[in-house]
Amino acid sequence: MKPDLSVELAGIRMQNPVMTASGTFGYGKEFVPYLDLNRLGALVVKTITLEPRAGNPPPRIVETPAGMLNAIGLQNAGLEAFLQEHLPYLRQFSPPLIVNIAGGSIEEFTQLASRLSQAEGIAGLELNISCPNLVDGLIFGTDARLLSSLVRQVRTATPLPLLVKLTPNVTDIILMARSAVEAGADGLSLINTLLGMAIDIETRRPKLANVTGGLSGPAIKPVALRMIYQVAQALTVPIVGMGGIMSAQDALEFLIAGAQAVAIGTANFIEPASCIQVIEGLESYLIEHQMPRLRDLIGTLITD
Amino acid sequence: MKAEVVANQEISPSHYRMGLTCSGLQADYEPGQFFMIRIGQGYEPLLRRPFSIHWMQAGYLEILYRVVGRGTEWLASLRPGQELDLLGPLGKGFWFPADWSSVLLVAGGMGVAPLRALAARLSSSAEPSISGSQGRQRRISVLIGAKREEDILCREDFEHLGAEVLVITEDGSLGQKGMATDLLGKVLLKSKSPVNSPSVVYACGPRPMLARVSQMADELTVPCQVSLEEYMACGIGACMGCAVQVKVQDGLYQLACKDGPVFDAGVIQW
Repeated sequence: MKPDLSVELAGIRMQNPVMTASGTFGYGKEFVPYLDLNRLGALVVKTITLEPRAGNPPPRIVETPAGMLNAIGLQNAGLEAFLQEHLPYLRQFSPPLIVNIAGGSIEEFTQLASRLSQAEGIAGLELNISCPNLVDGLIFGTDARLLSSLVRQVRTATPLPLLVKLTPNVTDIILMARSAVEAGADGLSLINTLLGMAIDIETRRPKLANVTGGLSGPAIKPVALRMIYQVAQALTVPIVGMGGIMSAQDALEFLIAGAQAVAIGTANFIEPASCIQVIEGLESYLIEHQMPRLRDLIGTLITD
Repeated sequence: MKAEVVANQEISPSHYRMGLTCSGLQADYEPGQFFMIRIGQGYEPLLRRPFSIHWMQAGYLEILYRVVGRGTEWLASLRPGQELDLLGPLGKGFWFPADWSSVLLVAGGMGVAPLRALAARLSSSAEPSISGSQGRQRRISVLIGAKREEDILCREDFEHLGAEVLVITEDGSLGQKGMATDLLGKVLLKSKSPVNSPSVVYACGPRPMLARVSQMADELTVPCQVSLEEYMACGIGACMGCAVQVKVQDGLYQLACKDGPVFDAGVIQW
């Protein structure tokens, strides 16, 4: 018998726990030649901002040991272009669509949230309060009081399930997680990239034009796992776990640590069909371990 | 898709030509397109590497590469019979004017890689029976510049395709001393009258060279296409890493992998 992979995350019903991580999957279209998008648990699209953003000058990415640094700078065509060009296309796919948004102010976040709530075909919102490549991007993500007032106001602007994507670049992840949840977040996504840097020793220049960038890939997986475990222990809140997941084995670690769902990011760049490989791997694991339902695996870490 | 290495020959110190077979490869590609190749199966190195199509036909692909780092070192270690993983063909390639009498291909160092596929396509369309251009003479000239003699690659390949080849090295070891753009300057000077000027200049090589080629073509109002090389993670337009600054109004960057790697030289913000 086929195992049941379905999960419910902050009121969003998903056929399996595998989502795409914002910023690594474009607006879906780029991946259509490589996988059936209808098989995904949920689709999370690249961050949109109120106005178009040009992004950072190149070089924007650099490979690092078992990882990569990026400083794209949230290049996107803005809310209007998303509503007119991307959303109608995305509506043809059955998995829930989660739109990731970022703003330079609370006002921008609330405007985005309220406009998107009026649009058809959006299942939830994810707040990007943790982009390390914006001048002011990290402020909301690293100041618990600011984060709290941001989430509280966005909460009043939208009836949609609200996920808050946390940055790992903080001293106390539980403090940030608690602030977001108490202010009305329905779920948490963690982690975003770790702030990092690489230097060309010949030119003595930074390898990224932006100097610093966000580290992702297998290199950050242990950090992500630890933070998800800590938050899952401290709070009762749905968690989307992400950070260096390359395989079903990686995804299983996150689920066992307490994540209700997982998001695949950097792996999409290397293998465009990574999400499908993870879904199939989860299914095989459940069959092998004679577990009828994936839900029964979540948060089952044994520590004694 | 999985491909099998059938040849991996060092054609010059540190320069390799690799032949790959794979049933999924189609003949209807655009010269200038590229493949992303997975380096091994592990996470180190993590990212695929882009390689332009050096030559391709149904079921068979050739790439040309120079060993510069871990990715190309791994490639150079492969033996016939071993497998690697391909993604592609990707991106937008060179395009062709409806009618042309002569074209100039300008290569700096490894820039010959995509230009061989281009020359092959141009050469096949130059045959009167195919092009229907009533046997009018069409000329393909290839200008290759490199550091030293051993870095001048593919000269015979271009000659076999019926192209006229001029070479120049920075150390002067082959007679002329200078860079590909110096050769271009001389050729353009000779063809000063509009009748003789090339229909298109196609170029691939280091960015400063491309900037100069673009400028020289622009001065003579000759259309110019350039193939750009940028760091990229995915090759399919998702990571947005390979940003190229263009002279358009909306201020957004274009992507080398999706909007290029071949661009009209006139739109690039050099």
